[in-house]
Amino acid sequence: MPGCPGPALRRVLAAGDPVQFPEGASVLNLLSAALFLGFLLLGGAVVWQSRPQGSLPSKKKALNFFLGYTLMVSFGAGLSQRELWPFSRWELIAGIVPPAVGERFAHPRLVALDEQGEEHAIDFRAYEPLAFDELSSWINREFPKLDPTEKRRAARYLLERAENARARVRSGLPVGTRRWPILLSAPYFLLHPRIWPSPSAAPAEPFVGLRIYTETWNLEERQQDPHNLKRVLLYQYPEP
Amino acid sequence: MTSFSSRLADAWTQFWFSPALPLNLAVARIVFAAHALWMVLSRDLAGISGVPVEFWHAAGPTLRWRYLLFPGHSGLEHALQLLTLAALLAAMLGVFARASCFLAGLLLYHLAPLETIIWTVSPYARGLTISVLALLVLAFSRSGECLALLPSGRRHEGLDSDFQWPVKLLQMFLAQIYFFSFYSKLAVAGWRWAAPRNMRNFLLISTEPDQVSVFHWFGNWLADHAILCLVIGVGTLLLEGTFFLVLFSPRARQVLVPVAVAFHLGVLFSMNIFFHNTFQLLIFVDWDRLRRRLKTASGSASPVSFQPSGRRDESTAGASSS
Repeated sequence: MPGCPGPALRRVLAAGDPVQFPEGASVLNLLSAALFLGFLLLGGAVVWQSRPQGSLPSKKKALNFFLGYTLMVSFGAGLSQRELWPFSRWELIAGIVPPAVGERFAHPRLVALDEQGEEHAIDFRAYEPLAFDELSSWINREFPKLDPTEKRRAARYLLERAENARARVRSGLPVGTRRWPILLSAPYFLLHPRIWPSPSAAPAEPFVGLRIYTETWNLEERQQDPHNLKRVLLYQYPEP
Repeated sequence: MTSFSSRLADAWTQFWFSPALPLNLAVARIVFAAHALWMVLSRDLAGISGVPVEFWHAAGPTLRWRYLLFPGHSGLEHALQLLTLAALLAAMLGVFARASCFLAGLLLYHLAPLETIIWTVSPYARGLTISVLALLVLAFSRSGECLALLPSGRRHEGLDSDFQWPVKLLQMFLAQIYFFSFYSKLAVAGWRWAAPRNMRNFLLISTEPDQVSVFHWFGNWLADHAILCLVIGVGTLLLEGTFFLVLFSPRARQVLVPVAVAFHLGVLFSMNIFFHNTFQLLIFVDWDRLRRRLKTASGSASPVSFQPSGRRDESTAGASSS
């Protein structure tokens, strides 16, 4: 059965820095915005000093300030490893991968239920505009913090997206953001297989429910047996 | 000390302000605008504004005001997305190029974070990070005077340092990706990052979850060979740690840029990771030199021409000369 996505990988890609809160802190948001504004202002100064009436020394000075500032901010972000987007720290695949994908790195798996209660995998395009990897990280980090009403609303939305996509695929209509041949559209950072490449591949029965599982496994054990993983039900909609 | 500071100043001037022709800058404009256009056409960023407010739980007030992103405005965001597409197209074609670049850069600063706003403040590695900075740099510079349907500003009159510094800065942004990636690996994991066991685990975690992996065979095959895992680890650190040399050496560009492209292809097929910025490496090609070589080869120009520095052409492969 199709499996689970990238949140564990993404966390490892973020070098064991699973909590984005340091980057999301108010001060860092304000600082990042201010630094970007500085970039704009100094760039504007370059444009202003480059006008025909401007003097060459002033233009050179503005340029040097702009270049120096940009280097300082961009290297500041990278060397301090603080995310000051768009001045990024570019922390890519920087972690040590543990042998077990455990609770810290659990992978969410979303499946849809039909009237008979049978589970069906959901094509990643069904969730668009939400990217599947971002949704998975959201489920790991934010979904547990929602109150019951919020969880129901979020799950109902995801179910509606899944059912809408299923129906479209069954009808031969395109689904997802990329309505043109796959080679022409930009994939996500992590690739995902299209499990509904044709109308017959999508389930015939309408979806009436949604389950969210979290999965953990040992890398070596799963390499021997792809089904060797532990699955725990996180949430079901509608609630039983 | 004075001698050192004057040497430093000379090096700074030489690096940023050597005279150059406008073609490379114009190509950079087209590359970044086309790439961003492709990315925006491949996403429904505006639609994220319309997802239920429960998904905006993590986006606090300062984050929302930082990017001026608020839930429930998908109509407005769609309009802005269309405007972005128009600006990028105009930038690519060279129609009011600098203004288009500026508009596109600002709009992408606003739109790009939508992709990840439901759980994190930063959309880095999603393909638009460098584009925001690059488009704004292109707006601040004389990027619209060549390869443009409506050339902007005064017509270029040959070599000028105005065409050098923006190209160098854009190249710097790309080189920083590799250097900071190298730096972060050492900062977080140290040299054991490159250990065969860690590489094997990376490959396994990239191929085992079947809903996230398209390619399986190559990654699994690599994972089964410890020596190859070691080569991958050491080779990655070597590439990332030395890539900054492309900023200073044409020979380094001739070697490291193709190696980087091959590296990203390898990562794609072994780890199912698509690195969007690969296409932007085209700005490391010296298009002006390439054009002159093609003209020479076709016999339509004198074999002797001048490098941007004013010296006679010593003609090697088409790597950026300055």
